[in-house]
Amino acid sequence: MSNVVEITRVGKTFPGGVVAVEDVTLAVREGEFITLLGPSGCGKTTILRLIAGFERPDQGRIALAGSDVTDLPPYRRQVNMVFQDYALFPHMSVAQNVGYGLRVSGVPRGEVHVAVAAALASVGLTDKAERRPHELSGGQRQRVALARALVRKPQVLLLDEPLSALDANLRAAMQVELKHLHERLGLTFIMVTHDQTEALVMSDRVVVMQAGRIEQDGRPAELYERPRSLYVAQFLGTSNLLHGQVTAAEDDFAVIDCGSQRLSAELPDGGLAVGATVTLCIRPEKTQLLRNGRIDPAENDLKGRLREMLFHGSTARLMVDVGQGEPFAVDVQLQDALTAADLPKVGEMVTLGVHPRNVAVFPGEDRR
Amino acid sequence: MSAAHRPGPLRAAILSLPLVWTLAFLLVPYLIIFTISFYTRKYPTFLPDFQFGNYLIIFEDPQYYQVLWRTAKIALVVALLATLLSYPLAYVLVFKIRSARLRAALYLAVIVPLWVSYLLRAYIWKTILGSEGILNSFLVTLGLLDGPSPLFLYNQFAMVVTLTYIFVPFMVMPIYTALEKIPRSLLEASGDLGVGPLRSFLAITLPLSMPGVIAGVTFTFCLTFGDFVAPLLVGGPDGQMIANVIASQFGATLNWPLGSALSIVMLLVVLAVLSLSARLDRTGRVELA
Repeated sequence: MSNVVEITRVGKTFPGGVVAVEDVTLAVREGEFITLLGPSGCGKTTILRLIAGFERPDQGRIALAGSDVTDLPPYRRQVNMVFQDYALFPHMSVAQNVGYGLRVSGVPRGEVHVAVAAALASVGLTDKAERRPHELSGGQRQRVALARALVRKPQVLLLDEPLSALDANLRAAMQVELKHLHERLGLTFIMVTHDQTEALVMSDRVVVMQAGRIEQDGRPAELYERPRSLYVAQFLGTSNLLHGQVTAAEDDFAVIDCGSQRLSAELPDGGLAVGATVTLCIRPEKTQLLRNGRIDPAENDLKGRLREMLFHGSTARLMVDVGQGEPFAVDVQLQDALTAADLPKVGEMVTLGVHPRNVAVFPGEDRR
Repeated sequence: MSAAHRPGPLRAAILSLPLVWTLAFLLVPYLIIFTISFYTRKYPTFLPDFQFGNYLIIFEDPQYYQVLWRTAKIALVVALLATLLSYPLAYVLVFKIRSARLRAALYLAVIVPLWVSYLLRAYIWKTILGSEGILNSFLVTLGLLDGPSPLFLYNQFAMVVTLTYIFVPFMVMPIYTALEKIPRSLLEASGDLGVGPLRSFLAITLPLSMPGVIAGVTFTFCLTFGDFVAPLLVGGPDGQMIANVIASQFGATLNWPLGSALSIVMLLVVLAVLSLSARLDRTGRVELA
């Protein structure tokens, strides 16, 4: 597959010296759904605006479908954006909004009409064509913005926090709908979000950003299961963090002393020096509650006192005091053989099991 | 009825002052003028009556309807000129000046003449346009004129220049506010949809700023229509406007009934413009959510 967007060593500093994007290189393959994920101010929106042409980079080049567009204004680029506030023209009807670009660029009236009708049908708003934007609900406005961006058949669709203005239920529904739309159209989608769930659910590839740079980029499962840095591990999902020192190390295995606990970890990315200060990162769902003192000698066992139980229905999260830092979170899948009544009571001692392959080790202290 | 809803003496006292003020200085005078406009003149005084002769005179005697027509023309020209000057100015302030401080300073520079006496602002044009004025001496120095020309002052041209200068801030303010309210993302969206800057301006910026233009035109038209000072200071014999004619009816000519009828006509013109403007504003108003 060819690259539809190529960003090469792009940098952007705003007046006042705020570095928004620093030396970013990113290639987006045709038909891909890629998400730029990060906290506000990490430069993700600036990258989107650079692709759209609203900002010019200070360094680097941007190419669309193989041709350099770095110096082209937005109206000469074959990309369209769904704005965070939707940016619908308030003085135009829904149909006029959607047909605006075609109409002004001289497409014959009949063709505009057909294209607008098709675009509105694809987002299920055929009956709202004559409404004004302020007469629509948030979700409907979002669909209009989507139809307006899609009607020009762009090479790339840019989505700037497209779901952030919607309420939680609608957001979940729109996530799936957008994903299906992407599959149906086969277009390239580039989305910006600060919501990790959104990124994990919708995208083929997630680019995690921090302070204007790309921290890690990969498939959602890859990022979640093999975060390359503590930052990514903490940003995606929940992580239990433990601090310790390496007491024994081999090529792909290490033992870490965390005060009252001693854990072993598999190291797929190479060895660690004995004596190094490290942070361990363990996912709540990769931790078992060991009952009846059953201990697998291959596993690490962590002992602690149950401080709190959070009941979620199909799961329960146990917060266990393991003698260091924040309480250690453990997710327990509830089922017929293990109901909430079978769980230990608050205040009781519990034993947790973690397989060494599920202990991720990062050098240094927690930088949070 | 709870105590909060009962109009107490304090509340009545607070409300009565503006009420008395409005009654005594606005409604009662209007009523007096309206009544006198039907009186019959009997030099050197006038008799209570109910007849439409005064109104008929206005539309029969050329010296009156021509003044009305001239006043309307001048007001229209001033409103048009002020729009043509103010729109680009407001546009540059809002969209082209990047620095917020510079923008605020320039905006203030446009507004600050409003703090200077209106009379003074009209008077300075006498100094600029007069025979001994700056314009004349400048043109003579350049050699474009052999001697000072009296043509610049005491005519409708001088009035239009003066009134446009005076009322430009009233035009810049609403247009500036209207432009400032347009979300930048709308213009970005227009560009994103393949529309160039000029067409974006015509399709997005201009229609969305129309409420400001309408407000500005209404201000300048109505203020010019009722202006009394500029004709007096820089207008010549053909520069009389309706307010001056009304003043003379109450003064030298001593014809209060005709003056009252003229006032009522003038009031109706201004009210008509205001209601037209309100209607245009309502139909053009859009939710900038």
